[in-house]
Amino acid sequence: MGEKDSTAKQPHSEESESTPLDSKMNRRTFLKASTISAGVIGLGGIALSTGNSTTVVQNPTENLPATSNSDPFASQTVTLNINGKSYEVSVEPRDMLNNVLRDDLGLIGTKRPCNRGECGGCTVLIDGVAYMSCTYPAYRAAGHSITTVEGYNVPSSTESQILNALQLAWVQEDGGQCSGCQPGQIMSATALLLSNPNPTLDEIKAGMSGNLCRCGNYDGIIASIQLAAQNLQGGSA
Amino acid sequence: MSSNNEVPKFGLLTASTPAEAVSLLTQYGDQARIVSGGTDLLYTMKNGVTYKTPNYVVDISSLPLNYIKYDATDGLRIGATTPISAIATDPNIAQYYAVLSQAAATVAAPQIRNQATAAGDIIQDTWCWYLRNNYPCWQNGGNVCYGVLGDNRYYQSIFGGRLTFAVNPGDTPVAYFALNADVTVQGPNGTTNMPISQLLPGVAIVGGKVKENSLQHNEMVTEIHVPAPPANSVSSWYKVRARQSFDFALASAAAVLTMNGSTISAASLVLGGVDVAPHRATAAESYLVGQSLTTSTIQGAAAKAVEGATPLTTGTGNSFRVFLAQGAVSKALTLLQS
Repeated sequence: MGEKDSTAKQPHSEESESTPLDSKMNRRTFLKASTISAGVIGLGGIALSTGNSTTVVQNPTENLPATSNSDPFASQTVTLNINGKSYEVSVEPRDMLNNVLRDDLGLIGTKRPCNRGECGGCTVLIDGVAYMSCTYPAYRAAGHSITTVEGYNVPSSTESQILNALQLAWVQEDGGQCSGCQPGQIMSATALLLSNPNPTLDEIKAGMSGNLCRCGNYDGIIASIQLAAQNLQGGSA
Repeated sequence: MSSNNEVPKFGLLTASTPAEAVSLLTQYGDQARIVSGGTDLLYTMKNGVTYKTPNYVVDISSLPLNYIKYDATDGLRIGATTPISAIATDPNIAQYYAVLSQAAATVAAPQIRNQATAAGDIIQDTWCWYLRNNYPCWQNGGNVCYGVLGDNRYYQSIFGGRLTFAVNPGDTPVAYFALNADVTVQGPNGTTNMPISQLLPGVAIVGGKVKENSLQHNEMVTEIHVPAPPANSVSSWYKVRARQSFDFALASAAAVLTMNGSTISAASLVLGGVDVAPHRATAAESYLVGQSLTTSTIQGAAAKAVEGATPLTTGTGNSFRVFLAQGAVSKALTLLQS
């Protein structure tokens, strides 16, 4: 799954032009480097700040950022709340949330296996609801609470608590084989347990039906979810 | 064909009312297309499908069209941008329109249902793999239906076609047909209301383009209305797929029966995934009226439902789907046997 190269994508090129970094450096490496360095703001047009933003909006598409129809191609600076942290990032209309997470913010836990909304490997939660990030326009996620597979350690977040329990259960029950689909599976399982803490086998199958596992390790995945559900309910079977 | 697996550059236009969205479509003409959920359009844009790769996209997802309203007299009203998952989980729909609730629950996968919308499921383009991989077919600006001579097992009609033979892919539209729904369409001169069978007439030529819905370029669906269900009516849905979830119908059946005791007083029976539009099985409907549901009448209705089928014998052929359609009808009716 190719990384976007800073030179391949014109609209962001002004970001790299203003930096002295090696032009061969891809955007992810560059952004990692810039995030670690002290003067984050202004370096890559991306600012990182911490803080728990827990805005919950019923309809994830209700507050599209106001765009100017006079310059429809313009990139806009949006604030994405990811795993309890707030990120400001410049997105152009065609950027999918997956591209922004992986290529702009270096959050590569979210995978991009098929990039067509056909496999579920890129699943993330937006306001607690599962979406395929490869087909979800990044601008629509502005202002909403996004949870990725990295979000297992967010204080006082139910999602995070479920995610953590699932990851532990995944290790215990061998939920992953080649593990290419694993982050997506775990995120769909999080959405499932969030809305249904004690699912039946059929409910697990239905809830997980948007995630394909090429290894065919569905039994391990189901066992992991069952164990996590049990553990979250205080170990009572 | 494909451009780096990314969505090609496009200009984003937003509207605050349906009228404004329609006026943007009028202004930008063929350069612009509507996006609501995006699961149809963004996919094809990544594949670089020529006719579906607009320079501008009018995003209607922020319009106040995300609602489900039920009233015992007026019936059901569903806003265009309501996610399919909301239809699948709405308690009133489950109680009064079981066929719609069940059809919605079998659409694609949970994540897709959260994003894909009510109107999108109706007016999405066919998922015929020739179109989706940018073959220059009738629906993609060319002048051939590749399915006819090619691999037509999954996506071509068994009831014939005209120019294009690609099936209508939706599940909820089949239920809407069975429930005699109508739709509100916003155009440049205001709104009009039409039966869903007029919106999905089969193959339509609109503005010189071969399409499978009758919408003009600058029109959009804003609302779906389903009349109040007749007293003593029951309904059911059955969908046959190559895998048990996350797949299009090889054949589906939506049945709505009005019962007088154990006798059927009215029948509505529609097949999905087998024709260029949801296919009303009129012969089976008239056969069922006056009967009660027995193994023998169910088999009779299922046989009537596929009467007149003309599966393709060129290319791979798709006659096996005649049997699947027959089976779907049989299963849907069996679910209503009490």
